[in-house]
Amino acid sequence: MSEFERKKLEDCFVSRAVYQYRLEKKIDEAFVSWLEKISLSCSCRRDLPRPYFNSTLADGTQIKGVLGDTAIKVVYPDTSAESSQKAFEEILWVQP
Amino acid sequence: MTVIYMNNAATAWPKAPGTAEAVAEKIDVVSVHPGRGGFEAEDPESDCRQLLANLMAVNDPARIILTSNATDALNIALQGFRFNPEDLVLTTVAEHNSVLRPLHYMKKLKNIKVAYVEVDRSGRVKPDKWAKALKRYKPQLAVFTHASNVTGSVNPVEEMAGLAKEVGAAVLLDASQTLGLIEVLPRKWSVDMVAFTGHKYLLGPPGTGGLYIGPEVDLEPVLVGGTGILSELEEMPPALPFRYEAGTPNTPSFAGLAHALSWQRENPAPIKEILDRAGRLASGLSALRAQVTSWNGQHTPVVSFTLPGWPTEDIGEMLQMSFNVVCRTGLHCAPLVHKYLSDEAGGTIRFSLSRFNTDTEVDYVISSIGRIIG
Repeated sequence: MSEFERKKLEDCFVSRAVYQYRLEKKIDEAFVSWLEKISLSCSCRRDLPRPYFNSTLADGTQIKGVLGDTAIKVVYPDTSAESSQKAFEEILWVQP
Repeated sequence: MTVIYMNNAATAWPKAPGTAEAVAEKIDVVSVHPGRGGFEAEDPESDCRQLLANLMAVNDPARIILTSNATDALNIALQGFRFNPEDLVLTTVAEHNSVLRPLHYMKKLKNIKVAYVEVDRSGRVKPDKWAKALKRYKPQLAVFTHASNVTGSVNPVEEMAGLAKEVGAAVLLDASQTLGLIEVLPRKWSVDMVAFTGHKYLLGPPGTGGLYIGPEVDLEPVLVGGTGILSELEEMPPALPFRYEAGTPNTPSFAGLAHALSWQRENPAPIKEILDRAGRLASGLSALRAQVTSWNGQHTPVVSFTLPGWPTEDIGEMLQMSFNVVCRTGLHCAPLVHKYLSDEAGGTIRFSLSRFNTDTEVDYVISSIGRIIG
């Protein structure tokens, strides 16, 4: 079970639901592997000074962040923001 | 890893050396409102007014109304302007929401009309289009930005204000992107009002800004309340600046702004050096096949671009999260201008430099973009 803190982020665009999740431990390769398993697509730029990952779930939810940080940025799809958020938080809660 | 900050069009960082200390010192001293209660005291607000009047070459510092930011100043000007129903405001598509939203609000509140003049692909107003719109609409007020916060292109203010005057319009200039960086001369340029912020190129603290109101303009006060003078009057006192400054001022922040203004006076911005650096950045990005918005004339140190095939947001995130480079992506609170530029609805990636950025930082940013796009 994994604790997290959620904070709504604002940006330029009207209909987007963007959140930052602060996790209780630093993001590591195991977290990225977990993302790869649950995502439709997942890339990790390990060639950058702090490796940047960007994954998209089947419902369009985007999860982004860098290895070594404790925060991820999650963008929920306009059309199903509420249900997508509920679904993602359920799996985030139980991620290994 | 050191932060490389290139988001000065949003807010300047770092501030003028000593600004934070000036703010802190004013918070720590015993609170005596200058002019309120008959005490002699240091008066950061008056210092600001005098320094700003000198900077804009206006004679009467009392005509500088101190506000909490440029949005506050623009609202005082736009909501306080004595419109009649069906009056028209002429503005441009390059405006920030600090102009667009008050105008939208005024359309509903006072039943005024608003017309928008297009810009070229650099985000600059073409004087011939401006002149044509002025003749067509005969506005009561013309409001426009000195420089686009998206592209950095500087508008020909003197020419635009002169043309507006020919049809009898009052002129309000949004100098949020320019004051402290390039000349802003309302009296010379026939500009009636200038709205500005203290926390950008004036290098002062947030929570500071102002509005210059020329002698030909009489605004209704928008915010009314205590002024510390003429307390027996039911209405706001007629004298400036009190007429438009209700409530306790943000004295510590204005002490910081007064300090920053004094520092700037002693250390004028090396504008050529800053613009050369912006040019170096633009050239480096172009060499990486970025679509950099061209300036085609006078500009501020803003470099706005897109990278074909790359979402702007992802580039901004990688720069910040992976390289500690702070920039801004998206619409930059200027939603109408983008369809006239080369970007699509996703907006642009924007670097905005200050005097404190270095060639080494510029080169690092170029190489970071190079590494991101491979």
